[in-house]
Amino acid sequence: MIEIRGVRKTYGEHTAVDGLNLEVRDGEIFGFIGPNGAGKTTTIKMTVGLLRPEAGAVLVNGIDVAADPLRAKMEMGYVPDTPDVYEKLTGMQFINFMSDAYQVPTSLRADRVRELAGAFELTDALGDLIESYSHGMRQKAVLIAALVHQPRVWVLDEPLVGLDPKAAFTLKAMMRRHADGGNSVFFSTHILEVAEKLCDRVGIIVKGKLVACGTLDELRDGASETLESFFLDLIEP
Amino acid sequence: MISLLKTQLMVGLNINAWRMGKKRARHVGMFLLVLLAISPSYGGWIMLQVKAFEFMAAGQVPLQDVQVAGTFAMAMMMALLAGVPVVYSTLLQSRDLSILLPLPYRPWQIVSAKLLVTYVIELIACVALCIPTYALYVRHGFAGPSDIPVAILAMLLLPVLPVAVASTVSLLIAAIPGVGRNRWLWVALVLTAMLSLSLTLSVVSSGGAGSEMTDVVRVRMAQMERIGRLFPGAAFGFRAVTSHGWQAWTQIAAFAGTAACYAGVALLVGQTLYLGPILRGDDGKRRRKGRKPALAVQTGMLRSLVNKEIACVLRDPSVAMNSLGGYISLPILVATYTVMKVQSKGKVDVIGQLMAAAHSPAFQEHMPYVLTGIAMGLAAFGTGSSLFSASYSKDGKRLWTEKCLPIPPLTIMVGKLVAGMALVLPLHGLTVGLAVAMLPLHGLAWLYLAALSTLIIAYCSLIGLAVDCMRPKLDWKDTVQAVKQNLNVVLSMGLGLVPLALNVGLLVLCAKLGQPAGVVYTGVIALNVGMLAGIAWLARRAAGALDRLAL
Repeated sequence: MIEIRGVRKTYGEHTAVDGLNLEVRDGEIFGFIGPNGAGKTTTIKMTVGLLRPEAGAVLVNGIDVAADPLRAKMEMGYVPDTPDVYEKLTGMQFINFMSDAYQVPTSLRADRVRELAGAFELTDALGDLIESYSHGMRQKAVLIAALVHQPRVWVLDEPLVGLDPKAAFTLKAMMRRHADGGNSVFFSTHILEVAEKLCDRVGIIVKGKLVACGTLDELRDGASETLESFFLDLIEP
Repeated sequence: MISLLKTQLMVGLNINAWRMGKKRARHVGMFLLVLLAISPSYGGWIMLQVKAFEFMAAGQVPLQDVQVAGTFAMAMMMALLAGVPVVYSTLLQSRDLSILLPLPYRPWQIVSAKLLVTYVIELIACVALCIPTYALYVRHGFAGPSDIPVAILAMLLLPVLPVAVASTVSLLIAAIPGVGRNRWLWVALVLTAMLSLSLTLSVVSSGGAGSEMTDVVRVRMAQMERIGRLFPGAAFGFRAVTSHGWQAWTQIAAFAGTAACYAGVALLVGQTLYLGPILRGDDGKRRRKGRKPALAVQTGMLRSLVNKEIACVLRDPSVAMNSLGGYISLPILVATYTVMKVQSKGKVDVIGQLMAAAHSPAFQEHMPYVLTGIAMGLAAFGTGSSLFSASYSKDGKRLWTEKCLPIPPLTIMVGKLVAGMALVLPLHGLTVGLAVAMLPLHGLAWLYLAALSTLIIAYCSLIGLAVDCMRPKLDWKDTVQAVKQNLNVVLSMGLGLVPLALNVGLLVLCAKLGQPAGVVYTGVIALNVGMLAGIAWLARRAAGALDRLAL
């Protein structure tokens, strides 16, 4: 579960996130959508501890990210919007490095890596240097490394970008299974069809403020419009 | 094809940087700085040529043809050596093949466009070297205006041979499965080639000339032939610039034919070995063949951090060369010393003179002071680099990984420190060993030297880490920018001078008070242990800056 309570972040004069309140419950996939520069990535970065909010707090499974960052980080698996990873490591070295930080024992690690790498069809390339990977392969390596410790909370910033259709399908199925197991998935996307089909609830952020939040039915409020038309109406009134 | 050549030249020579507003000023500034840096050597080269021609003209010494041909031969050698790294970056580091290959060009056209960039770079260097010599050759009346067109043609054709050889050799090496594209192999090859060349040239140029002028000419011509043999057919070029009339035109025609053959071979090799494997899709297959499977094995968090740091330093030559720059300069210093000793026939022997001084009574008398100075000098090899002061910067945007992981910031700093020390200490041990082998030291003095220099390396490393943790440079396109163009490196070196100044202050005080050696040794070690403790405390506090860092 993620609780975002009144967080605020400014970059100079620009307010990226302005008093945002949000809750990602256990057992749900929460889609975070909004136009470019709306504050999605800033919110996600504050959630995983990459940025410190100027006001407010973020709690992950009841643990305050600012007060007890190490415990909070153990609860999460994070995939950034761009897979900037150590190019001079091999895929497996990178996954081992991340797994060591999450203290995943060898006995569990080998099976999980085999399973995840198999699902994302990266097994053969794990011995290659990451610098030789394509964008999609890097994204897969980051996904495997983020999920290898089986975190309860997944925080994924545009995770489908660069993935091939099969890998995208696999990830969506994994997200669904994870949420159905009573865990939380918090992810941002620009692909509204994906959000519509996959998410239990959706939050829409515009200019740093949450302008709509709820299930698709709640957002539509009885109308038969798609998420796309609702979203477009919202950002271009 | 013209468009392809034009684009490759624009990209390869970064021509747009000279046109664009902000970048233009920076590039002009850099260019002027480079000009300023090379102007003393280039000016010296021109002066040497002027003096040589004046001497030849005044004394009727018939070496003018050798002088011109020798300059052309030297330009060729220079183009060959400089050509290897340029070819490596133009062909093997290029990322535009995915754009070029689908375009309606033949493979040889793509290869020739890429080689053209190398050719133009080499041409500029060759022309800069040859023009002063040939101008003096003409001025002193050894060639007439009718010979100048032949000389211009020879200069234009001059880089073709070395560029063709450099590209052919580079592509043959790159085709060796498994190791051919290893950057370290290339760094080692270029360094070895340069050192071998400087040694060969110094030995060849100091070779025994007889007392008669005819002997001098004969020996010099033989030396020229030896250099010419490296490039079969190059002699046509040398003869073209030193002949006159129809003989010169015949020679230049033969030289042009030779150059065409070289270019043809280079294009053929390029098409087969450079583009062939890419078009066939053999690259990935070859990489994975015969490799051990990757294993998922747990190690401790700190060890994992250290392993990651060491891999990131050693697998990136630009980071490694800057990180271990002090120690990498050692073999270069040794080679320079050898060249100087060989050239001066033993008269210039810096190490010999130092050894003699070390055995003098004055050395024994001032042993504590001299040893402290030597310890500082040895430590400078380990601290005068970016290993620690760009340790966070070199991670760049990838620092998100460590920051979002459940690792305390202090552990991250300790990981970087241990990794750096694991790289530096074996090399430091080597330099201490060399110093001990060369100097007449007893056991305790040996221990003092090793302990003090290690202490200095330790706290200077902590200063570098603390500075870089507080203000890392994370926005860069290439790791070279992170490790070379980083103010933290200069800042850390500056701050590192403060403790060293305190050491000097203590030594001055001890000397004024006439303290015995034991007091000086104890005082210096105590001061440095104290500084290490203090700097470690400060660095520990600085490690927390990672938490406040916005990524």
